[in-house]
Amino acid sequence: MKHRYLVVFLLLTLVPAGLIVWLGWRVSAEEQHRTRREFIAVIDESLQTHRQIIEDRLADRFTDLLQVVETARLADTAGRRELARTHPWVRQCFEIGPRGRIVFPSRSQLTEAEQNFLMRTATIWQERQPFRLVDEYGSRADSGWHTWYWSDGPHYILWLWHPATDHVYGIEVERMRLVSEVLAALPTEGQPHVSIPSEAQIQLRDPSGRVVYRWGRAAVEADASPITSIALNAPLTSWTLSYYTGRIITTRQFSSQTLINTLAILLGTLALLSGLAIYFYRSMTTQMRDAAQRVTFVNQVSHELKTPLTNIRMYAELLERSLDPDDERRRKHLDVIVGESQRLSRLIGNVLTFSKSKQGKLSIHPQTGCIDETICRLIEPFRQKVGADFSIEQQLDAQDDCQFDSDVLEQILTNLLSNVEKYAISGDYLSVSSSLSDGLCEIRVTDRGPGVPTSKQELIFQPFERLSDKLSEAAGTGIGLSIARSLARLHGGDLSYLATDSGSCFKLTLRVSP
Amino acid sequence: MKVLVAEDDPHTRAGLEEILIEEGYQVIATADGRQAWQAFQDHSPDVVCLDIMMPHMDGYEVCRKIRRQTDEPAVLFITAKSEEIDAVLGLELGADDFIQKPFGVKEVLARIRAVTRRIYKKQSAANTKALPDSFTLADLKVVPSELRGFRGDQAIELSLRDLQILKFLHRNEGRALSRDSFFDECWGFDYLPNSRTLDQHISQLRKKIELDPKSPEIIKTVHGVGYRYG
Repeated sequence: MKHRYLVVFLLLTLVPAGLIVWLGWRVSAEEQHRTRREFIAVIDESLQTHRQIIEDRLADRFTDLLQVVETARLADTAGRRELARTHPWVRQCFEIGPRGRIVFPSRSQLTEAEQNFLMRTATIWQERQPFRLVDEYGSRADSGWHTWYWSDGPHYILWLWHPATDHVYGIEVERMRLVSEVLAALPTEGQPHVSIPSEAQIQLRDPSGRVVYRWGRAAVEADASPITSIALNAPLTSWTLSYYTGRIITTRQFSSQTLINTLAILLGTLALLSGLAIYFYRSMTTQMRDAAQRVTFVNQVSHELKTPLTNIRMYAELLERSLDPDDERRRKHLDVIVGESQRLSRLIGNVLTFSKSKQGKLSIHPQTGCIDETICRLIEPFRQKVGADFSIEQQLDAQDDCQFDSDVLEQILTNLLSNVEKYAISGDYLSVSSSLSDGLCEIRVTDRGPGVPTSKQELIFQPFERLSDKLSEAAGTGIGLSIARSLARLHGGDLSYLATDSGSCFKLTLRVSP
Repeated sequence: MKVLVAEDDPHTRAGLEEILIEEGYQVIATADGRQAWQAFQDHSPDVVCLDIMMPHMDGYEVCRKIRRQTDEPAVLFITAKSEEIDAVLGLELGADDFIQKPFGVKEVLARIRAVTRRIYKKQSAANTKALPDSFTLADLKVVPSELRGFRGDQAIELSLRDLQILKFLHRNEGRALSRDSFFDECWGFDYLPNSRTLDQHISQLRKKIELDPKSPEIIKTVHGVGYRYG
């Protein structure tokens, strides 16, 4: 019994605790994921802000430089060479005719700088239309940046198409000037910046992955991975802005914070559940103990009654044995004492059987015997008790020896006959029939008493249920039929009430073996 | 045949003693477990009736001590605690049977007789003791080892006392036997006679063995003397 409650206790605490752990883990994982998503969104926003700053600055320069290209377009060879030599942004000017023919610098009179330019840009001119590419909507660009790689890294060209001549004019931009322009737009290195936390750092990396610039206070190791990165737009494609964090905002930290929260909730809930479970368990065990004590008390009292009852019965029988056979009056008196002590024995027996059934201790002990003999043994004293006017019919057909528990059968029949004596004596009739077939013994006990109302025909087998509690009605404990049915079922059979025109009929079945 | 009764309730003890003496057994009655164990060692009884709950030493312990020493006597537990006796039987303490309170005289006698028959059967198998021979009184064959008499196929239950009386009559066929001689022979010299005891017993015995107890063929009354067979 205690094991069962322990299992219930563990289920009440461990199952919810397990659920909480699982839910906590799910919530924690979800929380981590969500927090990381939000964090990256914030970082992305920060990086995009910086990218926008760079793009704004370059957009301004783009406009300025288009003016320079326009100047170069209008200039002659000398003017273009002068522009390349003096303008801080211009490394070289060029002009390309239709179908990609290089008009300037003219191959017939190249300076050293122009030769180098043509060498650097050789891969560009292999294309028939290196600049005027068609975009995804079918439109052809008329100006733009062009980036290509040569030896020490990326190089940048700004070009402009002139529709009247169908020539493309352009300049190679001084790379370091372009980078300086970008860096000038970014926050001062090593200083805190409003747009990033103090323990974060943003790095600008060139296409080779080299850190060109960094800002933010966080110390980032060389091999650290960025939280996120975004690429810059033209002309600085393949350049990246990467966001790094120091010790504060890491996934692990998010994880441990969430874990601590989850554990705290888990422990709190577990403590609450354990408290509740212990409270209910204690309350239940107290009730069980009280009930067990009541049963034990009744059990103990019943046992204690047995010894004086033994003496009453034994001495009455001894007295009866020594009585003069002709002394009828005294014999009757002794019969009453013996009969009442036997009745008391039955009551005690019922109480103890009931107590045993509640404790699950009932068991049967079949032995070879004759069912009809047991029935006759019980009918005889009943006949003497009810007198000659009471008609008793017997149709007994279970004479063959079989294996059954005669004590159980005796207790069931005694209860049924006792009910007839108490409630159906006015009918002056009892019929007992028995039959035996296929390992099943069937006994019917029928009377012509008042019977049992249809609504209560099942209720009478419940313990302590009586048809009437009126003081004028016959006395009884209300456990007889309940015990009788329990015993019958223990014996592999049943006890049921059969509806009759008048009176009651109880059908008893018992499983017996040959 | 000696029966040791160990029962702490004085009335139950005295009642059992009376029943068993009347039945023809020699009874040693004790009030607790320690006395019972001592009496067992002093008297070597054939049957031991033990109450379970007793002062000083409980019935289980007495049974254990007896079984450690010998398998000879039959042990019956007398108890009001039915579930305990289940345990006793389950533990195979060596009990032969149990009598559950509240019991009637007939139940006690039936169980004691059954045990006595088993003892006779065991002794017969082991051939340890000379068993009483069967004998015939008129058309009644008396088989003492079965505690029964037989008239044709009809078996008649007999007590040890009945057997002693019938044996005494058989040994002295044709002779009128005085009441005192019956008491001396069948009840023992130390029994204080009560004139009604013998008459009542003879009357009950006649009901069992005579075809017509009012005109007895086996136990005839010799007016002024006693009884006679043959």
